[in-house]
Amino acid sequence: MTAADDQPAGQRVPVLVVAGILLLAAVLIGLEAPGYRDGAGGEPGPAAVPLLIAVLMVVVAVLLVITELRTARPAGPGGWVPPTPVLLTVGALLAAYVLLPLLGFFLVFTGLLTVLGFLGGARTWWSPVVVGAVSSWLALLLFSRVFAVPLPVGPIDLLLGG
Amino acid sequence: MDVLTPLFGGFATLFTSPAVFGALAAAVTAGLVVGALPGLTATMGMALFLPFTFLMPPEVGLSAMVGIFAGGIAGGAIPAILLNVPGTPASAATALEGYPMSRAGHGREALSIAMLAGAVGGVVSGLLMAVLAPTIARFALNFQAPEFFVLAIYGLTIISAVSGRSLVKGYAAGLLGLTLGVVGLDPVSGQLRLTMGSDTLYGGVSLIPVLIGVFGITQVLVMIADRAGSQRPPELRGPRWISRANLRDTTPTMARGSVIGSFVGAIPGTGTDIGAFLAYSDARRRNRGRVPFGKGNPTGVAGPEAANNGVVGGAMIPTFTLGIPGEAGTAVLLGGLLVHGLTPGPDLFTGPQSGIVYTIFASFIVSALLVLVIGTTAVRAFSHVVRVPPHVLIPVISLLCLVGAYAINNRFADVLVAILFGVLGYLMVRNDFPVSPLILGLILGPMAEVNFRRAMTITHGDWTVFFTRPASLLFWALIVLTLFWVWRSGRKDRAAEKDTAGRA
Repeated sequence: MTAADDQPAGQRVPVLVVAGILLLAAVLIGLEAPGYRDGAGGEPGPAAVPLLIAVLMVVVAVLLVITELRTARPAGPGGWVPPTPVLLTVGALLAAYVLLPLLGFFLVFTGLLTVLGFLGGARTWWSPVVVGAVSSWLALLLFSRVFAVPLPVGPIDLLLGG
Repeated sequence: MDVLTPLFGGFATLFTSPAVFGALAAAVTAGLVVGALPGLTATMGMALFLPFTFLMPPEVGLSAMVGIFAGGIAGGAIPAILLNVPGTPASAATALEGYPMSRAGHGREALSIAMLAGAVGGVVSGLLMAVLAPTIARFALNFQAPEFFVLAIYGLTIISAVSGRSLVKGYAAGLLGLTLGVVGLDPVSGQLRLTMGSDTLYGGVSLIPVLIGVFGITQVLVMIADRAGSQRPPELRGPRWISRANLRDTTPTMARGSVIGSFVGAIPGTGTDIGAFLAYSDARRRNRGRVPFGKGNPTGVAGPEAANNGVVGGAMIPTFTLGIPGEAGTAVLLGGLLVHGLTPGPDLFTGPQSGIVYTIFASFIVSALLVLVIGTTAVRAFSHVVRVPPHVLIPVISLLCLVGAYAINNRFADVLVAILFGVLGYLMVRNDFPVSPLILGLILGPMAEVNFRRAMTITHGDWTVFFTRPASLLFWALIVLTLFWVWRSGRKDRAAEKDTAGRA
């Protein structure tokens, strides 16, 4: 093991971005919180804790920047932009969230799970489709029939017993 | 006897209700499967199951959650022993002697030792929890707002202990959690805070979708990023039962590991991995057994497994009695209590809901025994679980995450919250930001704020109230001790790193 093995891998950018977000959040809280009503008897009102958090955010942001600039950081797996399969997964999850109320449970989840199966490294075309369709159908029956969860259903879901 | 009577009531409920017992047995099995899958943790299993407990009677859902917790921790030993891949961080110490045992042709025996040790650890810590928790709760019944505020601050100092290598990153994550805890309607004044004009945020950021996001969807994204082909089939060889000599050698180690784990677990901010490594070093120091350490000494399996299962029971003590979750697993369990309208704290042990608490305690003790029975009889089946390919696991986990996030309130917005926190959790994990402080901040922030403002209102702004009451002083002392311990551990770690760098 070398000294470099003990150092955090990745890029500086994410840490500096976090510091920037903390500063921005502190400023936004600092702008909003003073507008809250004061406590009735002179005790701390609803603004006290948010303002304390904002001050701590500034302190932690400064400490983050100082610590980061003092850390030797070789290139490694940590990075600003996640790898393409992760981005595609997030895209698929968000697409499912948008399409769920429009297309119904079975269609959307079969599609989503099939895509995730491929992104998860499936080597045959049929296995993610089968896993996706069977899991979605079983989940549809379980949650709508057994747990009585009002899932968003389309015509296909009704045909399948949802 | 006074302490044990309610516990017997808990056992009676458990054994007379087929739904509770059936759910517990199924949950222990599911927990063993989750723990056996490398990369999946007991915490993630509980987070996935959490929304579904809402659809069940509280004693059924919560008993099932502790079953998953116990099964998940014990199941982590399976890949640790068979593949040298700890299924959970709790099992990292187990792999040190378990894998060499497996390589030497004693894999089945090592698994039996692990399951027996897990059962001993679970039963010992469960009994300790059942005895100590009501006593602590009775003491805590005298607490008022000032004590609860200092207690919450003590809970927040745990962020320092669970932050790993970077304290500042832990604090950043904790502040994010605290900020999220402020969002929504202020419980004291009714003022809307940080909602950015969104109606959805009036009620604040829901804990459950956040838990599902940071533990479930984050794991999906990590698996997608690190996907690998299926594991090679593990070899399950050797005698099935523990030899008489090994049983004689490991029994005292199991007993000591159980006690170490229980006490470590009761200290917020420690966790299963610390308990397991302490028990491993204890076993190594005593050097019992016929095989040298490093070559597959069975006491090196028994100690850590007894301890990491013991930690679970110990960690439930501050969670149930004071509402302070010491680590991620108990934070999820605390979420389960809240889902059922049970507020953790001393009041939980009085009133009509106390029966549910003792059913949970009884379920935890029985789940330890079920781990032994199910774990040893179905060991061959569990050894195949480690081979489930990621392209099957990823879709199933994603399905449970999304449906679970929706099912808790039947709200699409919660699905979006889970996805967004999953992405946030992934970015945090990939850039060395610990996620536990975020959850601790979100849970303990509101508790600290409400009690702080209540205390200040009662005393008309007199700050000394936080420093003049005996229990508050005790918690301030614990805060100082915790911070001192963190500072000293950090100094030791830095010295060790410098030493390693110097040698390199």
